[in-house]
Amino acid sequence: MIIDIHAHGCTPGGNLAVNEERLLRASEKYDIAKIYISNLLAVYPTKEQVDEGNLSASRFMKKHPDKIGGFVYISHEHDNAVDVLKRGIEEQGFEGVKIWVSEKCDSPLMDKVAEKTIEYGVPMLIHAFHKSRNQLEKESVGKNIANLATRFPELKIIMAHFGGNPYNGIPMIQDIKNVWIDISCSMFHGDYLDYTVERIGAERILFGTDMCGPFLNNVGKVLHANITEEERELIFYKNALKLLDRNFKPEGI
Amino acid sequence: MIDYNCFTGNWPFHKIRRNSFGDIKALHEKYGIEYGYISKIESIFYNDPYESELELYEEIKGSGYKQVMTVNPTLDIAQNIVKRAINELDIKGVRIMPGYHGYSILDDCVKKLVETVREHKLKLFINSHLEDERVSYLIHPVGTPFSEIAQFITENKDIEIQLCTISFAELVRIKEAVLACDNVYFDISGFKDRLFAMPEIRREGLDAKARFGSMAPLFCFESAYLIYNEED
Repeated sequence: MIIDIHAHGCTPGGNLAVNEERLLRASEKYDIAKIYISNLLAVYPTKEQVDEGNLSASRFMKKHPDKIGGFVYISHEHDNAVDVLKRGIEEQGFEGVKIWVSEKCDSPLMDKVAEKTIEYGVPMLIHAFHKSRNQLEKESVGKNIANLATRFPELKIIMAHFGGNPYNGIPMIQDIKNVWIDISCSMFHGDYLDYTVERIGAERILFGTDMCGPFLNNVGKVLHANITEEERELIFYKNALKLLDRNFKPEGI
Repeated sequence: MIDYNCFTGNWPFHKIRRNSFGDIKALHEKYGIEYGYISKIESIFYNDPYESELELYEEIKGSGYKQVMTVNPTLDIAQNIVKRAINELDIKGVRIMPGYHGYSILDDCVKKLVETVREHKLKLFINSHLEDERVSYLIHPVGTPFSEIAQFITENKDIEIQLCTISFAELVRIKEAVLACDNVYFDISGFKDRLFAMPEIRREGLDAKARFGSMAPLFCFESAYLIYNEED
């Protein structure tokens, strides 16, 4: 069984209808139990673009409730961010919160969103990618995730993409028990998952793909890693089921 | 199946697990791969890559694997060591990495190397990329421009060329040149960002040019295996 915790129905410049068709095709072809999407319309979206993306994601989820779940996208620099979150969880059927690159995740502007997310008991999936070139000005990296997680120990955080470069991201969150990571990423470097399991254990690692990017190379990462079958199951779906349970709290809470 | 793009050795910027020849061979056997065209990672970084090529020669001797020597053609010694490796190490190919070694594939130093490759009927492996450029550390390579690759393969139709780790998007951009050159192949280890990659390669009419290349152990072998074997 596979749960994909990190996918997109739409990213900037993408074609929503084409992507939705490809997601459904992937779901069937690869027998994915559930794909969790968020829709991103712009790097620095307007309030209207945020609403439009969440609306289209919600529609897609409601049309295919067995196959598609979702995370409500929030730009926490917007003054209506908490309202967007509230509508997303209470009315639109989202099961988590998605943060991308429009503002650093540890900005004080995050505080009210973080508090409300804790109240709902849902996880917050945060893009994090340390780059040696072309780092976006407000793109979060491991240290930003660590700051936020330390400030809000009850907040269940998923650091996306191993933090981009795991050798930057993973040590930053190694001892912070309210941070999980997802393996979604186009890169399939041979040692990323082994390194991460050695640092934080398999219990805090989730399967994700970043579809409509690649799927198979992410499956290959899990098959390639020097881990047990039980650990593969944790990564492929069991950790996701646990984290998505609103009653589940991080260790020590 | 043959693995047209695999390695042994150590990467200078992070630990590589299961990186011995025995590890690679065991992986190949598990998945029914007959043998590989194999290179030594250290040869990318050594002043004189013959040192590491000699190690690789000793590691794979008698195994049926084909040694592909990595060389920086801007080195004064490049011609010398390639010729020595042809005679002493029975190399079957030469690998170049313009992005790591800082030259254009159209430079004169590459032309000289190609003469040797042609004369000895070696295969030429061109790595457009290696590690993802976004996560580089200390050395910051650049990808080989696809327009230069198109020009290069068009001008060198009498040697066998394999484009290693070229991205799907780059490949499609030079599709006409690739299809026009009977001597040119590509491996799939650069298809990292594409859903349904091989079915799309078939739709592009490029499947006859596709070879399995894993980039293991730098990349996950199983990822490349799944990508290459994906059915429509």
